[in-house]
Formats: sequence, structure tokens, C-alpha cells
Amino acid sequence: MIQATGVSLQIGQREILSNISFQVRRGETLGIIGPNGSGKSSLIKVVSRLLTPSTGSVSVDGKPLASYSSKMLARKMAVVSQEGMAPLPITVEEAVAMGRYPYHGFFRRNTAQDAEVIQHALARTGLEVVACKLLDQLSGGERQRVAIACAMAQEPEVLLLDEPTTYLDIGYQVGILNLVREWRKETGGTAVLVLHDLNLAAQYCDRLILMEGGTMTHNGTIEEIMQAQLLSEVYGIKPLIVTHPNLQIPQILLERSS
Amino acid sequence: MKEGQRRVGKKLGFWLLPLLFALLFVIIGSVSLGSAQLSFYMVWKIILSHVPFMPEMEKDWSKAAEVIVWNIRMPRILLAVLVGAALAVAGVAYQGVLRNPLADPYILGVSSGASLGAACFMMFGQGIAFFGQWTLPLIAFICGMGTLFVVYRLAYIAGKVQMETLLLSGVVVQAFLGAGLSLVMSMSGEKMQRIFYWLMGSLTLSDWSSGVVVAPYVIVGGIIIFLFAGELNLLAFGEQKAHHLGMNVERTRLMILIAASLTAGAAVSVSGVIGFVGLIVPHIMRTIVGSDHRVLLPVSAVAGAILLIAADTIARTVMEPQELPIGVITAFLGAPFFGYLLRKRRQRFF
Repeated sequence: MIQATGVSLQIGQREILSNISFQVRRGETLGIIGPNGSGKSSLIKVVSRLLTPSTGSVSVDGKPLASYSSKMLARKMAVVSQEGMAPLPITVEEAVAMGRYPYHGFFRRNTAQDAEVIQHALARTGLEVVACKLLDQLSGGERQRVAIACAMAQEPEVLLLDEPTTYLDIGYQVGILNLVREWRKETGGTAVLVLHDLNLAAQYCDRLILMEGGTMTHNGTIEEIMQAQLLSEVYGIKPLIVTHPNLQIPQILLERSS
Repeated sequence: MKEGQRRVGKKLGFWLLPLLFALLFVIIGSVSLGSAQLSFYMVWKIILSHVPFMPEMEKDWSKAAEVIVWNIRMPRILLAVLVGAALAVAGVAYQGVLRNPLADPYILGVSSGASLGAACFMMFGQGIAFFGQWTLPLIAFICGMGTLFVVYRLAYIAGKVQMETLLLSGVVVQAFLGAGLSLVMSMSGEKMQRIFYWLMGSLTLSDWSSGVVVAPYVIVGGIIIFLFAGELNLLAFGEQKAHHLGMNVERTRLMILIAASLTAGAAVSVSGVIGFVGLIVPHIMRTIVGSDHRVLLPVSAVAGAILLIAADTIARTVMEPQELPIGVITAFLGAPFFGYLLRKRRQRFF
């Protein structure tokens, strides 16, 4: 679905990303993890064409990223950032309706089909009850839900989420990730998630990419990445890896210095 | 979202109708006021006699009265409508595209640039009037647009445009252009009087032909901006979000800026530098109708027209028989308002 080949990104004298290659298969959930400043967000920005790589290339669905028009690309992939929708005095429904923008011509008209998609996105994210509320009356967690609903209204094949849970409490974190999971099951879509929380990453992703200092150091299954030795080198912590009693997935326990 | 569209339509009607009535009211008031004492009744008989398909009336008024009402007051009011609407719509567009609550044609230096261009053209440029009477607004537009790019470029530091830097570069460029304007003025001799008006703005020089020349520019520019109302709504969520939603941000921004400068430049070419209209009107309207540009743009256009007619009526009546530049009135209103916004810094909408 997504293929990055030898992607490097240089801004001024600084090299932000160097020689990154990876592949995301259709229908899988890829997690990108790594310490602060390791280039995770920049990688998402390159894949979503917000930044152009200095060398290397990205292709989506077999076609180079540059060959897509803005609207065609927005139909292929939707992006959710850290902050959620900005707190403007606009209703939730109107904000979600913006997700239909890539399907409209210059003299746009909202069709019955658009209305259906919007209602479905609202229902799926549990926002129907607040559909008429203004965004600036909502909490950060709710606005992140709106951002997800807006992205779903784009009916994309790929969902890119850049630290979507950073500012949220545990309840909302799990809520957002469950939404993405349900969306994937329903539509067979592909998801790429940048996450800080390794335990959540292990639970919600099929595969992980580990980044360090602008390079991709590891790319593998959950079991391959969730290794005490590896994580201790990367993050400078003393982790304890245990197996989740119900899910049989490796999880990490932290230990304070004594 | 048929329903949503109907809702926008309803909301627009809800605010636009009362404003249109207010506009009519202000026009009626303004046309009846003036240094020549003409009765309200007579003024309206004169106007109605010019409306096509009206029954023939007995002309019981003097030729002078007819000239004052039909050739002086009416074109001036219609020009005020055009200029006020143009400045307000341009203000909304600039604020939306630059995501800066203090942007307006005057503060960004567009008005100064356009007026210097217009002044130079009137002084030296008669030889290059390729498009006849249509040339002046075009020159004003090009110079205004050029100024905007210089101001924006100056404020563009390390990939960002801070609000404070943008205001400061606007001030710097305006100071420079102001000096240029003074230079042109002092070289102009007997034309000085005419160019002097460009410094503070005035509708004194209006006649039917100036309205006719400006109207197409203002209307075309305004329609283009209105067609981009949905894009302006998207841009309010930030350039990144707009990009992810499938907008070609660079191109859209350029289109809106060109349309806004066309509108503002054309207005300036007939009225000179009338400050703050593009700042006050969008702000007040935004607090009343919200920040949906599909509603905000038309509503601001009408409100801008109302404000400018009112200001012009004050300008020509308050010190009768002498006339004040209209920019004096709008600056008296606008500068304190600007200060208030600067203090309050309510960036809720951006």
C-alpha cells in the first residue's frame, strides 16, 4: 500500500531522516515508535506529502506520491495530528463535513451520499449526541474524536495518525485506538500510527518500526521489537518484558532507579 | 448535507435581510442630508423620476436640485456602497488567508501601495493607459498586490510569519510608501489637490463614471472570494489540516490574495486610503454571525457598505460647508478599535 525507498530529508544543514525504506501492506497496522526527536513525525509528514524528501521516494498504491493531485491524495489517505480539531466556533457536524472536501468540485454541492457518510462517521465515533455542539465547547479528547470522524469521512484507504493520544487521559487514549481498530475491521483499511506508549503500540499494531536519530534501526514483529535489551539501549531504561495474561502480547513494565 | 446547506441559507437570510434594510435606511438618510437644504420629499421625487417605468411626474424642482441629488449625492452613495463592501470583504479574506486577526488592506500596506500606484499613474502615466478608464484600478491592484508581497516577504522569518512582525513590516512599508506619496504630491503642482485626497481618503471625486469603472473589479473580486468561502473555512483549521483535507494550500492562498487585492485596489483607486474598514467590520460581524465564511462574507459586505455611507455622511455634514476626508472618520473609529483588539488578542477564531 505504501512503499518508501531510501527516503532522506534535509532541512538546512540538519539531516532529519536518512535513508529510510519500508513497506506497509494493505490492511495492516504499522506502529512507528522511537525516542523524542528520532524523526517519527517527520516521516509521517513525508508520507503525507507535507514535506518533500531530499532524496528517495514514496509511493502509494503503486503510484509515486507526487503524481497524486491534492484531492486524490486526500481520498487515499487521511491524517490525524496530535492536537485534534482546533477549538473554533464551528459545530461538530460542520467540522466532520469538511472531510468530504476532497470529493467536491469547485462549485461544490453536498449530496445525499455525503450526508450518509457524515452521519456514519458521527455514529461510528459516538459523536451523534454532540453533533450540534461547537468545537470550542468540547474537551481535547472529544476534539480528537472529531478529528478521527473527519478523517473517516474522507473515506480513505490509509489512516495516518501522528501521536493521536499524546494529550489525552487513558480512557480517551484507548477510546481513540479502539475507534481506529474498529474502522480497520469494518473497511479493511490500512493504518500507520506514531505512538509513544509502547504497551498500546504492542496491543494495537501488527508490526513496529523503531526509529533512532533519523534512521530506522529496526523493523519487525511485536515480539522482535519488544525486547528488554533493545529497548534499554534505545530509551536508556531498565524495562521488564512480561506477557499480557489475557492477550498473550509482550508488554513492558518500568522500574524506577532505586 | 442538504440540510446543512439549508441551514447556512437560513442563517444568511436571518442576518442579511435586516442588514439590507439597515442599508436602505442609511441610504435614504444619507441622500436627504447635505449642505444644500432640500426637503426629504423633493429628494425622493427626484430619485423616483429617474427610475425606469415610473409614471411621469411633474418636475416642480429646480435644475440645481436635480444635479445635487442625481449627479452628486447618488453616485457618491453608490460609490460608498462599493468601496465599503470591497474593503470589508478584502479584510475578511486577508484575515482568513493570513490567519491573522489584525490583517486588513490598510494595515498590510495594500492601500498605500495601491494609492501610490494610482497617484503616480495620474501624474505621469497617461501615456500608458492601454485600457482607457479601466487602467487606473488595474494599476492600483498591481501596486497593492506588489506591496502585499513585499510586506509578507519582510515578515517571513525562519519559515514563519508572526503577527507582530507582519504588523511591523506593514508599518515600515507604509512609511516608505507614504514618503513616496508625499514626493509625488509635491511634484504635482496644480494636481496636488486631487492627490491630497489619496492621503486620507475621500469620495468627493465621485461621479457615475467612477462607480461604473470600479464596480466590475469589486464584483468580480468579491465573487471569486465568495467562491472560496469553503476553502477559507478549511484554512481556519490550519494550513496542515487544510493540506490533509486535500486543499492545494499554496495555490488557494494565492488566488484569494489576488482576488482580495483586486477588490481592495480597485476601491482605493477611486477613494484613496480609507483605513480600518476592513478591520472593524469583519470583527464585529464575526462576533455576531460566527466564523462560517459563507455567511460572514456577504454579511460583512453589506455592513461595510453601511459603515462607509454613515462615515461619509458624517464627513460631509459635520463641518458644513467644509468637508472632512472620510479616512479621518474611519481612523477615529478604527484606531481605538485596533488598540482594543491588540490588547484583547482574542485569537479564538484563528
